[in-house]
Amino acid sequence: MTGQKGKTRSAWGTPWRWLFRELSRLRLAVWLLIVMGITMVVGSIFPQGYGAETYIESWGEAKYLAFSKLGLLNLFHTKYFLILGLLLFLNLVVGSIVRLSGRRGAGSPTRIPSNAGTVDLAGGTGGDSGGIEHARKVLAAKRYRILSDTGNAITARRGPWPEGVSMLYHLALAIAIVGFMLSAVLSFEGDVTLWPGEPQTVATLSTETGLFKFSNRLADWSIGSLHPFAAARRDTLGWENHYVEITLDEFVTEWELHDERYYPKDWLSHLTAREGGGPATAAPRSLIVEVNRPLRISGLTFYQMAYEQQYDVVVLSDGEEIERITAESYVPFSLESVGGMFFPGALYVGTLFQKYHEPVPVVPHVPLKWQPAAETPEVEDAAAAETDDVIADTGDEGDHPTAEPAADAVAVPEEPIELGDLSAGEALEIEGVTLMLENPYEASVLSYRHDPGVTPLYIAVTLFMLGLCIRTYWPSYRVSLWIDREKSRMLFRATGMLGEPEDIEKELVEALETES
Amino acid sequence: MDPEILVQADVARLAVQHSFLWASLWFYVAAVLFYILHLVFPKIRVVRGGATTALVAAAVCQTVVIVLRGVVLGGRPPFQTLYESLSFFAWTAVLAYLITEWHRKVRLPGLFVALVAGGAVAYALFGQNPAIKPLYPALQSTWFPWHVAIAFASYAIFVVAFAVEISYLLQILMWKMGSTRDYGITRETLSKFHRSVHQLVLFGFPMLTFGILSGAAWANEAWGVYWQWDPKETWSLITWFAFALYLHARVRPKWKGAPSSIIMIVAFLCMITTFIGVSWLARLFGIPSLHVYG
Repeated sequence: MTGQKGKTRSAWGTPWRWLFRELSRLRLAVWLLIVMGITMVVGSIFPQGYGAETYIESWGEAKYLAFSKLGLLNLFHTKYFLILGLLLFLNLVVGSIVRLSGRRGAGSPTRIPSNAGTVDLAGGTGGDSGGIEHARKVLAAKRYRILSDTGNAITARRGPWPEGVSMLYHLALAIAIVGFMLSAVLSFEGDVTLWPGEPQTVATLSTETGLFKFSNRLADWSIGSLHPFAAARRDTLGWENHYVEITLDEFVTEWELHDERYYPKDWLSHLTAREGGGPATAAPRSLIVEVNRPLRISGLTFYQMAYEQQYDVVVLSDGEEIERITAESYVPFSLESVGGMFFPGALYVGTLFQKYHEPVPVVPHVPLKWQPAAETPEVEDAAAAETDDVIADTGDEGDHPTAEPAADAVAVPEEPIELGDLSAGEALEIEGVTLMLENPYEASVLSYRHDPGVTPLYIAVTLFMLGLCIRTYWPSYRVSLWIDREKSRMLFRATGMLGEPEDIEKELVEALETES
Repeated sequence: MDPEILVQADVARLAVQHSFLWASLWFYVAAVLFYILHLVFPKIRVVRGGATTALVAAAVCQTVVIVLRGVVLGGRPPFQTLYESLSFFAWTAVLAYLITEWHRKVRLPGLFVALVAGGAVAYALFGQNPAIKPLYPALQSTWFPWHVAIAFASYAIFVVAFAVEISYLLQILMWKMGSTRDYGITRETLSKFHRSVHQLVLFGFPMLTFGILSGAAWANEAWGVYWQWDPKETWSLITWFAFALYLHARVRPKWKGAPSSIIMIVAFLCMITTFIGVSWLARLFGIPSLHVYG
C-alpha cells in the first residue's frame, strides 16, 4: 500500500516538478525578456489603441484590416502579450521561491573551480584541521556568515542578508499584485466640466467598476430558469448620498509671453467642494486643483485636464449691434451679416507673465481666420488640420500633454484668410462691419479617478527600489574554502557583486597566512 | 532695474554659453584625435595626458554652459529642450568616464566616450535650436529634476559601460591581429577590465529603474494614469529589458562571452533610441507621443 501510495504521489508529482523546474529557469527569463522586448519594439512602431477611423484615414482599409487581424494595433492588450507577461511573472515568483528555499544550493560548497587560489597550510596554521579552524576564525573576524561547513569545505557570505533582500522583492511583488487587483476590481474614472458658479455632482461610487460588472454578470447567469446568484445583483440604490458636489469658484489661466508668443504657464481651478455620504453633508471646503497638483477628496482624485471656452461675437454696423452669437474656441462659426465661415483659435484670457515684468491681465482675444462663402470647405475636410492648428495657436509643441479645449474642435482648412485677433479691446473690421468679442468665460474640465490600487503600488515600488539598491549598491561577497589534504593546502574562491572579489581574496590570503 | 537691461543680460549669457558649447565641441574633437594617437602610440605620455586634458577641458566648458543656462532659466536645471538635453547627456557621460578613468587608469574607452559626447554636442549645435523655452505646466513638477537627472545619470554610466565593452572587444581583436601595444590592459587583467562593464551596468540599472518608476509616478500625478504605452515609455521599458537581459546573460556561463557583449551593444542602442530615436520614430511613423522633444 505504502509503495502504491508513493508511486501515485510520484506520478502526480513529476509533471508538477518538471513545470516548477522549467518555470524557475534563468534561461526562460532570458528568452522571455528577448521575446517581450521584440514585441514591444513592434508595438512602438504601430500606433496603439486608436479608433478604426483614424487608422483607415491614415493607411486605408486593407492595411488597417491586415494589421488589426494580426493584433498589431492593440498589441499590449493581446492575449499573446498577456501570456508572455504572465510567464515572466511566474518565472519571477517560482525563481524567487527556489532561491528563497535554497534549492539551488546557495549555501553548499560547489566544486572547486580551476582558477581557485591557494594558501599553504604547512606553516603556522596547524595543519589540515587547524587550517579549517583558523579559516573559521578568520571568516568570523571578517564578519562573514557561514552558510555551510562540512569540515573540509566552508561557504560563507559577507554583505546584505540575501534572503532579507529576497523577502523585500517578494513583499513588493505581493503588494503590487494586490494593487493591480484592487485597480482591476474597484477603479473607475470619468470627467466633469465645471462652469463658474454651476455646481456639479460627482458620484463617489460607480457602476463601471470591474466588481460591479462581475456581480451583475454573475446574477444574470442561469441554469434553465434558475438564477442561483440573483442575489449578487447590485444597483445604485442606496448610493444617493455617496457623492461630492463641486463648484468652480474661479478658473485661473496663466500665460507666458516669450519671443512674442503665448506659452501656457498654468491652469488652476479654485473649487468649493461639499462631500455627501451621511445624514448630514459635510461643510463646504475651499480647494484647489492644478496641473501636477491633483485634488484628493472622498476617495476620488481630480486632475486638471482641459478647459472649454466660450465668448460672444458681436457684429456692429455704424456703432449699432446687428448680430450676436456665442462661439467656442476651435469650433467654426458663421455670421448671417458677413457670410462665409470663421475659424477661431484658442481664447486667450487670464494673466500674462513676462520675465522681469510685472504680470498683467490678458486682453481677451481669439486669433481668427475667415473663409469667404464661395470657398467655404466642408467642415469634415478640415479635421485633419486640427492638431497643427492647436500647436500654432497655443505654442504647445507636444513635449507633454497640456490642458486643451475639450470641445470637438474642427480646424481651419488650407489657406484661409488671417483676420488677426477678435478682441475685447480692439474692433476687427471685415466686409464693412465691425466684430467685437464680449463675455469671455472658461470652464475647467477635470478628470477624476477612483483607484484604491495606486497606494499599494507606490508601496510596492518603494520596497522594490529599496531591495534593488541594497542588492546592487551594498557589496556582497561569497567565499568558498576547500581543504586539499593531499597537498596540505587550502583552496579558495571569492565572488561578488559590484565589489572587487580579487581584493577580498587578497585580504583573506593575508589573514589566513597570518599565524593565529 | 530696467527689464530691458536684464533681458539683454540674458541674451548675452546665452550667447556666451553657446560659445562655450562650441568650445567644448572643439575640445571633444581634440580629445578624439588624442585618443586615436593614444591608440597608435600608447606609450607616449603627452598623448595620454593630452587626451584626458582635452576631455577635462570639454567637461569644464560644458559645466559653464549648464551653469549659465541654468542662471538664464531662473535656477531650474537645463534639460527641457533637446539642445539642453544633448548637452547635459554629454556632460554627465564625460564626468562618469573621467571618474572611471581616474579609478581604472585605462584610457582606451575614452575614445568612444569622446565620440559619443562629441556627437551629442555636435547634434545639439548643428541640429537643434538653442533658444530657451518656458516650462510647460505639466513639466512644472518636483519630479522633473529628479526623474531627468537620475535617468541621465544612468545613461552616462551606460555610455561608459558601452565604451569599456567596445574597448574590450577592440583589445581582443588587436591581440588576435598580433598587436603588442599596451593600453594598460594585460591578458591577466582583461577579465577584470571586462567585468567592469557588468559592474557599471549593475550600478546604473537601479537608476534607470528609478527613472522609469518616477516617470510613472509623475504621469499619475499629472494625468491620472501611470502607464500609457507611449513610444517613449515603451522604449524605456525595452531599454530596461535589454539591460536586465544583459545582467542575466552575464551570470549564464554560455552567454557570458560574445552573447553578453552583443546584448550590451544592443542595450546601448536601445538607450540611444529611447533618448533621441523615439522622436524620429514618432515622426517617421506618425505616432503621437507625449514625450517628443520640441
